[in-house]
Formats: sequence, structure tokens, C-alpha cells
Amino acid sequence: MKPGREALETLRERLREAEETLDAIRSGEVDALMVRDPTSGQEKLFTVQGADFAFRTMLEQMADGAASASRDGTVLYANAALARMCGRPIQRLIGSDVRELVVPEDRSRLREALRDAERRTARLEVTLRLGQPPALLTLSPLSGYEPRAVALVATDLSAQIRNVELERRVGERTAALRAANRELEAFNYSVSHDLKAPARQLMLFAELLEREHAAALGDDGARMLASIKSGAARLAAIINGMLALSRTTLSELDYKEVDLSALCRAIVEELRRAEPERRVKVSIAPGMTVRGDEDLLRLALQNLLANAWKFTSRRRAARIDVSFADRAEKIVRVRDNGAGFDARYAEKIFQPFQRLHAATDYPGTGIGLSIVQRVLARHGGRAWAKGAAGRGAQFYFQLGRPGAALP
Amino acid sequence: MSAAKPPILLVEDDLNDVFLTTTALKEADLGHPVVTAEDGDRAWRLLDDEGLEPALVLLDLNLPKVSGLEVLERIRAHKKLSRLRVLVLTSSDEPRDRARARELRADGYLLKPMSLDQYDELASVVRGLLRP
Repeated sequence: MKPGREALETLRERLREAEETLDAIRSGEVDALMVRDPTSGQEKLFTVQGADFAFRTMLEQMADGAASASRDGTVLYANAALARMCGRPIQRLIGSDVRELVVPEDRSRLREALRDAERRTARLEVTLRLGQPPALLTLSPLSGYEPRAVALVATDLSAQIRNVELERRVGERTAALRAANRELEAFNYSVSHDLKAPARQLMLFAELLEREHAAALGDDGARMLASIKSGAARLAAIINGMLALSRTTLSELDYKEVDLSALCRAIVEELRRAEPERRVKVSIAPGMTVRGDEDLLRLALQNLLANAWKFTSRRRAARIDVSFADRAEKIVRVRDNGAGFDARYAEKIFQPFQRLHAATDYPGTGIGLSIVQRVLARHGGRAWAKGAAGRGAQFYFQLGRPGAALP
Repeated sequence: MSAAKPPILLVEDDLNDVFLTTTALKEADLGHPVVTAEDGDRAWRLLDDEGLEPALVLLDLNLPKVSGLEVLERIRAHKKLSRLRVLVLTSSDEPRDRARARELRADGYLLKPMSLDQYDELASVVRGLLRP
């Protein structure tokens, strides 16, 4: 090999070494560097240690992009996250013009922000890479450094944008679902309403038949007619229950101070009037007030008290009491010593048409408690039950905080 | 029989209800014939075009063509008919319907009877409204 060519190869080799060393410095693989001053011949050690080392580790590991730049806009340092966000290797970032970190349209804005950042922190939204979501750049002056420099932090906004988008979609779907629900409820309401007339007429014509033609019917016919009457009455009761259930969803809430104690007293009075032969000891705690819709709360209490009234019908010393189970939390409890229910079904009894007792023992439509639950749901609250078979039942409810009501 | 009394106008589209109500009124022996209109449009034509002067209108609300509340509204806005006695007889328990009927000065608002006993009550309300 010729001497000239040999020298060239050596030079190339040294250049390659120098580049590798530079890459190692740039990419953070090197933590210390020994540099010999060519004039004085003294060796100087440059290290990344102590506090700086900890900060550097944090910078390397953090999910935000970070960089520092000199006053003239040369990138002095960049972390891996920024390289990922820009889609370029760290080695290409360090030493490049900081303005080239962003897409061309954003460069003049970044230039202005860099100027501002010599005095105070500046923030701007930029695109680091075409087709990617924007990032928030925070530029802060690095005072105390000479020559003056700027620190950049790039926060990826895609997660936030995704969340906003997700929230928007969830909101849209909830609204659509709510609209569909209301439509279904309105349909249910109009069907129930239309069923009212034939059920009513069935009862009336059966009664008329009984009154006008009892003799012609004979004993057998009278028994069948009685079945028609009770069937029609049950049909009417179910239809009324469905109408009430629909109304709890469709009606507008009218919030005001409601005296639950007074409502309970009036309801119990009605129950006593309807069955004057029943002896039930009822105690209602005074002064239970809440903020809510009076009509709906009356409906809920009517169902809870009618339930307690019904399921204590076989108790000799029937008792019902209504009070706050928790005064501060305004948890209302309706307790009876009636038939109770198997605790396993404590959730199930709130579903429409769920009945735990034979209709012959305790007649009912199975709609009452679902009305209770819906009334509470409309108020952003809830209803729940505790009980044991043969040992009475306790129903609880609590209204939601104001503003928690469903539209 | 005395001179023919003015009729009761029953505005009702359901034939079963027409039968039940007219039977109850007949049994109550009020002495007023019953004229039936099967929808709001027919009722209005009887009153406005044909000059029917009923002693009382028994008005269902949920009617084909022209609704009961609209008939009532027209009656109250009419020069000659505005003081006509009108008893709303409906299956609608809606607070909105009740409020509107009150606004239009209905002379009463009854829910359609659920038992024959309640038809007796209806007849006595009608008797009360027929008094001069």
C-alpha cells in the first residue's frame, strides 16, 4: 500500500472514531470525557455526575420530550422522548436548528416564542411531525447559563385529545341512548294508555252481566264471571302500574323542599280508609325533609308504604315505621315486621314484574318497587332493601346531591 | 211526559263507553234525551251549524279529528255557546289535561268510571249540573 493512501486510511479511521465518540456523547452513552488541551497539554475531565446525573436520568426516562437550545437556536441536548415525537434519532437532533424540530408552518411562531423565552416562560401548540397530533411546547429561560440558553419541554397532547374525543363520543352515545329510552318509554306509555279503556270496559261489562243476567248464568257461569272480573281488575292494575312507571321517566322534575313525614302521614291515612278493619301500628318520624320532586317522591312512598301495609296483613301486631336511618346522610328507612323476603333477592325485587310471593298470598303487579327505584334514579339517588324471610323488610332510599338528577 | 227537555250531548268515540254512559244516564231517569257525537268535528258541527242547544256536554278528551280540549276551546270562544255547561269525562289523569280543562272553565272533570257504582256517582254529578 502506498504511504499517501495509508495516511488517508488512518485519517478516515480517526474521523470515524471521532464521529462515534460524538454520537456516544450525543446519545448519552458517555458520562465522562477526558479532553486534552492541545496548547497547554493539560488534561481536563468533563463528567455528568451528582445532582446533574440524577436530573439527566429523569430527563432520559420521562415521557415528555425535553431539549435545551442555545440562544442562536442550536439544539444542545434532546432526550429520547423528543426524538420519538419528532421521528428522528437523537444524534440528528443535537446540533440541528431548534426551529427544525417543528413543521415549517409552525417555525415563525416558534421563533417568536424563543425570543419571548429569553425573559419568561412561553407556551405554544406545535406540530412536531406531519400527520401527528399537536404537542404543547413550554419554553423557559435557562438563566445563569452563559451563553444564554432555553429549555424546551414538549408534551404530547394526543392522550388529551383522545380523552376529549372519547368523552365527546360517550356523551353523544349517552344522549342517543337516553333519547331512545325516552322514545321507548313514550311508546310504553301510549300503549298502556290505550289498554286502559278495554281493561276498564271488561270489568264494567262483567259487572253489568253479573247484575243483569246472574240468573241465566247459573253457579258455574257466576264462577267464570268472577274469574273474568278478577283478571280484568289485575289487568287494569298492571296497566296503571305501567303508566305510573312511564310517568316517573317522562315527567319533568320540579325540585323543592318536600316534607316526607307529612306525605307519609297522608298516605297512611288513605291506606287506613281503604282497609278500616286493619290494625297497624304506624310510626312516622317528624320533620323528615328533603329537596326533590314532590309528586314523584309521593309515588315512591305510596309504593313503599302500600308494600309494607300489604306484607304485614298476616301479622297480628303489624308495625310499620318510617324514619331517617342516617340523619346526616338523609337515608330514609321504611321498616315493617311483615312477611319479609329472602335476602338473596334483595336486588331482584326492584326489577319490574319480579314477585317473590304467590299472588294468592299477597296480590300485586310487581311494578311498585321498580317505580320506587326509578324515582330515586331520577333524583340521582338509589333505593335498596334488607330483609329476611318471615322477619320483616327494611327499605332504604337516599336522594342524590342536588345537580345529580337525571334529565 | 212533559215537554221535551234539551238533550245531553255525549261526545265519545268509543262505542262501549257510549253504551255504558247512556245506560247509566237512562237509569238515572234524568228526562233529557242523549245525543251522541263520535268525534270532535261532528260535535262542533252539531253545535255550530245545526244549532243544537244541549243542556250539558259530556266531553271525552281523546277524540279523533278534533280533540275534546279543542272543542271546549271553540265553545268558550263562541258568542252564543260560551256559557254552555261542559263536563269532561275522560280516562286521562294527566295534570296537563286537568289544568287546561280548568283554564277553559270546564264545569267538571271526571275520570271514566271503573265500576258501576262510579256510574251512579257520574249520574249524580250530571244531575247537579242540569239544575237551572
